[in-house]
Amino acid sequence: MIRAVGRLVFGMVVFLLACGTSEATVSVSPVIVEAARVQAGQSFEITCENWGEQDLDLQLSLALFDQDERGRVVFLEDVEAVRRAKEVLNLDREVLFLETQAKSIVRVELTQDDFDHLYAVLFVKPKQGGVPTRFAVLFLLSTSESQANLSVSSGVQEGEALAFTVHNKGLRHGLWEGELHLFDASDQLGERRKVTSGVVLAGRSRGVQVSLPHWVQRVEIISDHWGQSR
Amino acid sequence: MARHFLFMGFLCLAVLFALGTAVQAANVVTFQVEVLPGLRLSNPDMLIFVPVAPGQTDIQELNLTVWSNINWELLVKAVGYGVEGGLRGGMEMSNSGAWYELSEESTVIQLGQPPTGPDGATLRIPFRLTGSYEDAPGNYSFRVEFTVVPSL
Repeated sequence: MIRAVGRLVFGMVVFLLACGTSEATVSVSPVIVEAARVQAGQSFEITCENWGEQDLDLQLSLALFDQDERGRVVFLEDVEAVRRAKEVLNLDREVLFLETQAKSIVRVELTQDDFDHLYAVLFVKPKQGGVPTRFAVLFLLSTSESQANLSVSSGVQEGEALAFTVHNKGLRHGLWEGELHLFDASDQLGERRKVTSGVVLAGRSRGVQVSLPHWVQRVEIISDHWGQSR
Repeated sequence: MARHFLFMGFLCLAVLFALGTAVQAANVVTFQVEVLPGLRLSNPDMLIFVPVAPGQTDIQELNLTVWSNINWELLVKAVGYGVEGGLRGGMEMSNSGAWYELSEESTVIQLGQPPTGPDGATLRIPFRLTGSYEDAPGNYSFRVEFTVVPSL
């Protein structure tokens, strides 16, 4: 009897978690908004489209984001981060109704420009019965005219892999681009390989790992351009 | 006189050539377009586990389709899971062949995925429920939320 109750309880738990009504398909674009020399009053438009067979509400919310040492996006959704995001950005609505096969525009207005850089995220969350999903639209905004200030720490070669770190001491985001010069056992240049770091946020560092051919004995890291913005 | 006609002839040819070039140039239209980074997501309908007793397990797959023209990542977090009064454990998800306990912290389960192309990428994410004696009989609820985000 007890066993039977246990089976029932766990079965109900999971069913309540994830049962839904229908499959929804939504698209959002652009999902990255990059702008320099931004000013208060400037606005950005995000297009949302409902590809599903049922009408849909989209819930919209703001937060901030950061980047970890591997370059991954880390959402900051605590009370203070949300307050700051709402202080600087204004949504023209918090719920967007979309009829089936329809699209609409969300307008995000910059209300303040008292920052060097702002990394904010707009979450677009379909409100429907299935498993909850959401889109993250990243805003990489800077008031500065200057470029990123990127530097590379010396690389560490371990076997067939090279690891180095790109630091951004500038006031806006950017990506490092360069070349690896690969030398063989006789110290002859055997290959030149283009490498990019991906975006590095202002004040952040990002690790880069590159696989190397087995014959490589020594690597030189050559920077192409400094402070490229994407 | 003949030289004059010869000169006029060259002049006419030059004018005709110039006109021809102009007409040809006028037919060239330059298109300037911009493709924006976009994401599309097909939400799964439902995921139903069979009832399990403590010590028993059930595995179900969640199918999620992503379309993207840029590199992207997928994060997952559980809300209301493992907390006081909630289900304490027993729900895991598989990533790269290993099972991980669900967490209230956002966890990256797909890192730096390439653009999908027009067919999209369908992810099959296995979830495993194991009944536990740690959880008292009762009703529990929590949400598992997936977030798709462009890679930086």
